[in-house]
Formats: sequence, C-alpha cells, structure tokens
Amino acid sequence: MDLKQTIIDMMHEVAELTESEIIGNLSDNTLLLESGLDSLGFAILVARLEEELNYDPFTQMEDAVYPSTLGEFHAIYEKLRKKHDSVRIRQLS
Amino acid sequence: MTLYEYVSCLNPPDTLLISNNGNNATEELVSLADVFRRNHKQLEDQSLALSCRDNIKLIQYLVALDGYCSRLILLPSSLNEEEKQQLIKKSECSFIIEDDQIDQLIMAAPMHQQTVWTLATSGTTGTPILIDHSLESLSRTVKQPSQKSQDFIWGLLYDPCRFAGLQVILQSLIGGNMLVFSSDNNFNSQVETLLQHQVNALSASPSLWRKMLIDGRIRQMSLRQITLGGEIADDSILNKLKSSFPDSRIIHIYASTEAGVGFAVTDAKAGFPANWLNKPKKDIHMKIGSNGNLLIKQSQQVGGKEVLQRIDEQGFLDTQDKVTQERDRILFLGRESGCINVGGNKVHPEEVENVIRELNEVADVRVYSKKNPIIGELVSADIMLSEEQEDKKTVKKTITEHCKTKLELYKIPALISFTSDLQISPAGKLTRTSS
Repeated sequence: MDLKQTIIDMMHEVAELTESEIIGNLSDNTLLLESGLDSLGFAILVARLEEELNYDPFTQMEDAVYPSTLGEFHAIYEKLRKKHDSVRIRQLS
Repeated sequence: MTLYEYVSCLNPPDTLLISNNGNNATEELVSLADVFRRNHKQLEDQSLALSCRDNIKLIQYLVALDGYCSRLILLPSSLNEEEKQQLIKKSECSFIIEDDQIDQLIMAAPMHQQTVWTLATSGTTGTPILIDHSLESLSRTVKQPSQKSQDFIWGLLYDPCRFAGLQVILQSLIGGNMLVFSSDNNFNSQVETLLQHQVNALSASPSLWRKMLIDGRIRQMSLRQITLGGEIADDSILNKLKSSFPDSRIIHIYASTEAGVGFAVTDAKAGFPANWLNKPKKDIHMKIGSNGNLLIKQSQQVGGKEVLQRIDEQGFLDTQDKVTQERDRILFLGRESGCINVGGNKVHPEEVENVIRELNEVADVRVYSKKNPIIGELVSADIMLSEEQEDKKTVKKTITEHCKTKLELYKIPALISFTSDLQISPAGKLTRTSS
C-alpha cells in the first residue's frame, strides 16, 4: 500500500471535514503548518490514520519529537509500519 | 410512618407486586415482615448492608427492615465485588445480608432512630459513594391514589436499589399501585413482562425510552403515564413519545441521588421555565452559579460527606449540571465532568448527540471522548442506524454535513463508527467512557 498516498488522501478528507483547503503543490519539504490543515485538522488526521492503519506513531513514540515537514510526517509512519507489519507476521505465523 | 405501616393500611388491589416469577399479595408482605422481625431480633436498631438479586425478595426486605433497623445500605447488584467491599467498609455497618445469607461483621451498640436509607451512586468520578436518605426524602414525589391514577399499573425498569427505582417501588407500596417487574435485567424479558401485564405507567431514562421505541414492541401499549429521568430529556425524545402515545401524560424529572428529587416538568418540553429561577417552586430554590452550573436548595437536604462538601454558605448544592438560558427556557447542557476538551474548547456530548438524533437515518447515538496525542481529546460518535445501510461512507458524510449546519467545527465527531447496540448502564444511562 502506498502509505504516502494514503496520508495525502486522508489529508484531503480531513480538509473537507474542517473546511480547510490543502495547498496545491504538496512536497516532502512542505511545512505541515502551511499545508492547509490547522492543529484540529492534524489531530483528526492522526486519529483517522490510526483507524485506517491500526497504529499511531504519536502515542508510541518515546520522545515527543513532532515532525515539521510532510516528508518527516510520512517517515514516522513508514518507520512504524515496518515494525507493525513484522509484528503482525509474527502473530499470524 | 414506616414502610410497614404504609403497606399495612393500604386497600390495594389483591396483588400488589407482579413479577415474571410470580405474584406477591400485600398481606404476604406484612406477614413476611412479621416473621422476619421475630426471627432476626439481632438486627433491630442495627445498621446493615443489603444485596439481593431477586427483586421480589428485595422488596420484602425493605418492608421488613424500614422502621426496624437503624440504617439500611442498599447495594445494587451491578456493583463489582471490589466496589461492594469498599462500600461495606465505608459504611461501617454491623450486618450484611446477601440474598438469604445474614452475617455479622462487627459488634455495635443499637441505635434507635428513624431508619436511614443509604444509597450508592457513582458520583462524578465513577467510584461509588454513599448518600443518606430517609423514607420521607425518597417518597416526596409519591402520589396518593387519585381517580386518575388508581388504575395505574407501574412497570419497573430501573435497578430497585437506585434512587429512580425506589421512586417507582415506593409509588407502588405507598401509593397503592400495582407494580410489574422482571426478575432479571434482560431487556427482552423486561419488555415482554411489561406487555404481558398491560403496564400503563412507566418511568425510564431517555436512553431506555429510545431503545424501547426502536425495538417497537411497546408501541402496542396503551400508556397513560410516561416519566423520564436520569438523563437530559431533549425535545427529540419528548416529541417522539408524544406522537407514539398521544393519550399519555408525559413528565420528565430532574433528580439526582445527591440532590434528592428536584422537580418535575409537565409541559413535555425540554428544560424548564426560566421563571422558576425567581420564584421558589414548593420548597425548592434554584439559581445558576457563576460556573454555569445549576444550584439547588431544598428544605430537605440529603446527607453524606461528599454531598455536604458541595453545599455553599447559603445552603445551595452545586448539582454539577451545566445549564443555559434560551429565551424563556432553561436548558440542560450536560454534566460538568462529561465535557470533552478539544484543545481547550469544551464540548458537551449531549449537545452533539441531540443534533445527530435529528437525522431520520439515526436511531440513536453515543458521543464520547477519544484521547488524541496532538490536541488532547477528540469528539467520537457511535451510531445506531434506523436501517442497515450498505454505503457507510455516504451516511457518515450526511451526518457530518448535518452537524456542520448546527455545530462549531471542533464539536463535529472526528471519528464515526456504527454499532448495533448502544451500551446502557444498569442505571439506565448511556455509558460514555472515553477510549
């Protein structure tokens, strides 16, 4: 599954819910706070991603280092996805 | 007067109590109480805790023990063992009655006093606390039989050990009306019992009323008296009841185990008239505190350490229920403790539920808080649909769009899930534990 696309699609969904608008040219360097979502939007994004992916890096991280760019945001999820998937494989086998 | 005395001088219908297990005539109640007192002299003027799973037996105990023991602590069967033991310890009672088993815990000097009825309530933190009442404070709203009400057959849906349940039981034992109940708390057997015995007067929480209307079987009943209590009665449920039972009187009661009975609203509209704030109704004074909570002062204050802490210098009890004024009406917003804190913005789950219930697609809804690492808490909703829908995505959108027309953005549920059954607590209320 393309995690990056999932995140971007979800951002659009949340933007619709919170009546915000995602900027046109999203890139890895885009600052999250300039992407169009406010803090409520991000809170909902994280909650919706948890519902979709079954894991939440923000509640699992030991140091509260919040990402500032879209690239960093994606990286946190990617890192945890590998860990999560390997745990699932172990549970299934 | 004691309960025994009330029951002794009634001219009730031959059968006062009907359960799905069997009938129990009034004379039996009195004679059973006589036998019990004769055989248990050690309980006279002592304090005791009572836990009983059989509702008929519980009522028999109440008649035998009021006016006999000095203090009666009622332990709802819904308490878990730990909570039960906590309350027994807190109460410092001498005896414990569990179904048929009577045990002495400590030796204590007899105390000759009017029986104190001690009830357990979950208070605001969830840990049960003890509130002292008297038969008098518990039966303030009992109506003596009138031409209109003497043929009322009351149904009991509440836990008999809780404040609301006792109101209904005492209406029967003191008011002389027939009482119908199911021996277990299974929803299906409760509804069937009500139908079978043609109950025409019923008191339940708004959540239970919604559940029964959705179930549909009670629509066949010819209800003449509908009472709502325990939760905020919004216009939506009141209107639904009005149209389902056009011949019934509908009242909703504001009461709490801590405050005792506050007042009854009989115009079948949500909230209560704003002018009640200026003129005391019977012996009840009300005002709105600076924190937006309803404050009540009654001549008959109930006791208990935890409650006394919330009474101010003028004798007003902070009910911890938030209210607001809308034109000539005072409306309830929700429990102070039930607020969802979305990044500093407070949301009352009840307010969001009321808006969502306006949709025909929605049978009922529970709104609660979900912890969030970014903003603290988010609003979440569990929806029970009126009809099964394939396309959940469209339904979610409908719900969200509807909420946008009435609520600020932070109040709109961030997460929506669907359920076939909303959990109702033993006290008849929607449970909103956060996840």
